[in-house]
Amino acid sequence: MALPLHDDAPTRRVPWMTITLILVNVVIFLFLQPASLQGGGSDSKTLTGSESAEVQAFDAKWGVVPCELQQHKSLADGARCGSQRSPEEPTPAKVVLLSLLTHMFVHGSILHLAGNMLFLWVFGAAVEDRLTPVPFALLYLVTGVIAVLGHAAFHWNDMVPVIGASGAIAGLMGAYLVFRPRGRVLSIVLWTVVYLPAWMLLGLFFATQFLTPASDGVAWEAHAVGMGAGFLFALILARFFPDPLAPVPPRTIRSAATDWVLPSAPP
Amino acid sequence: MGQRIGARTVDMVVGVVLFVIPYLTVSNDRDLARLFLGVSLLAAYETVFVLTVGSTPGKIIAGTRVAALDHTGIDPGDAIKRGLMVAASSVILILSPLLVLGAAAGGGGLAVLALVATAIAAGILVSVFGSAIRRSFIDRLCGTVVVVRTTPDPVSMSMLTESREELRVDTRWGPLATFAERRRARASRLDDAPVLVLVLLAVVFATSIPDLSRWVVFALVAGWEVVFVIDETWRISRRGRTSGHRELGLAVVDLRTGEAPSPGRSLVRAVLLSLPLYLLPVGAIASVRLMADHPMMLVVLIVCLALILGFLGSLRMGLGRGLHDLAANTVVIELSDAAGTRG
Repeated sequence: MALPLHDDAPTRRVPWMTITLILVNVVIFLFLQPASLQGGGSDSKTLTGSESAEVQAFDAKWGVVPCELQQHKSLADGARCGSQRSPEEPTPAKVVLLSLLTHMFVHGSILHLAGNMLFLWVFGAAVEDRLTPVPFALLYLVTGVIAVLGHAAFHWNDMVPVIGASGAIAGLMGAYLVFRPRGRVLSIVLWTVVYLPAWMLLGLFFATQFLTPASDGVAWEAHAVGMGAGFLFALILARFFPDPLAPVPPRTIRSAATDWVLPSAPP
Repeated sequence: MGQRIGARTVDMVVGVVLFVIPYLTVSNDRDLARLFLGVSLLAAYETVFVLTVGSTPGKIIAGTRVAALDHTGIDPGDAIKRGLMVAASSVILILSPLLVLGAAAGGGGLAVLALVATAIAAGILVSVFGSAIRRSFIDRLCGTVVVVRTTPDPVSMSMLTESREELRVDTRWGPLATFAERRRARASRLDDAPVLVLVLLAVVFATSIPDLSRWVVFALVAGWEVVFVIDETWRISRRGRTSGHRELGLAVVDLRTGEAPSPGRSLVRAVLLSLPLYLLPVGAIASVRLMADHPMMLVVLIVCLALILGFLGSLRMGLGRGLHDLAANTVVIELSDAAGTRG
């Protein structure tokens, strides 16, 4: 695939909200999620039985479980899903609706976190530069919720928790296409480092979602739905949140009495 | 250089002391968390001192300071960025030999990490020692430079470069393009090459298909090579430049005539250019993937990496002409404003 490094337009102000989101995700992964994830065991599939159980319990508590969402209650509170549940599988008590937000800040491995944070940095900084921090944060959270609901809609009976920021980040990528349609992104593409048009990079990302095999354990529906939601919301936001740092085009006032053209402000 | 090494040594000793804090406060099974906290503390140390007094304690002892280039006062954002990068690079410089030792002692899982850390450490050292004014890539990215403490503000490049930052070689057709200019021009190569974009798109899309035969992937890569060579040959022989060259105000000229190279020379140049840009990296990647079944692929990997570094070195170290330019007897020059071609 293609790995973005940075886009070609410098940001006009420090992307504090993007930096905050990255820090929050990193701190949660390092200090709150099970310590066994830090050894890279999840990426190399070498977690022990007890470590896997601990990770699964954490994910079940803070991630989105589609069948809990469908039945509006947690497995601990009696939700019944399609398949027979093993007694060993964790059923932690949780607030189901809260998991719509918390799942975005939980990651399954170092690579999962690193990949998401890279994409968040590249595209989040650009979108925040256009929107300002608060609308940006709302866009991030809302598209993240819509993305996971989109995934859940295709997997209503699933008990597998959905975690990760990628749905929300896909929303930012959709928004990026609206705010910087002519943007270029310096990317590592297979064996070369080259500027790619944003539409090509993001279009490729969107198209390859549909090639994701089910066995990969990737919630590709969340990516696709999130990207679409981000694109649509950005179209609306572009209209109601004009770019605060865009230069004001000069206006001239034509005097009725003369054929002079007066500037709207003193030189 | 001795001042820089001395200052960095003092600051790294302070860094080791700072690293005691996460080791005392974070539990044993969270090594990555300890590393993150340690790097954050070191970055904060660098940033606060540079922002407030312009020097870390190590630099104060060595009589140097960090200055913003071409304006007075360091931007807080640049100071934070610099602090983070210096902290991370310091940790990498310490960890890379330890990782190599760990990998050599049979920690197979550490091999990739050791390779990456060593490459970054080597890059850091090359960027400092390879600069005439010892300006590392960190300072280049942050718009700063380390100078003697008594140097007045604002510090400008012209003050620093009786010893030139970039060796400028003049040919009879114009000044040789710098490594940085050529690198940026190459990154913009695809801007007006829709055919190349489509072929690259097809290759990337194909590699996303699960269980695709590796021979299909190799065939697609070979197809990309052919299309690239044809496109590069056509552009260089016809116009003397690609879109990236045009954007940076550069041109490829025949050293004898000053004109765009002939199609034959352009073809030779394009074929040889494609080696370090595409074929050798593909060879390196393929050798890594095949190494588990064929250990001799390590030799292929080392050869590919050495040739790539040699190519980059020949461009970077002031020769300014890679093998492709030497074989085709061409040179990449900066066009003057009179030529009206910049941008």
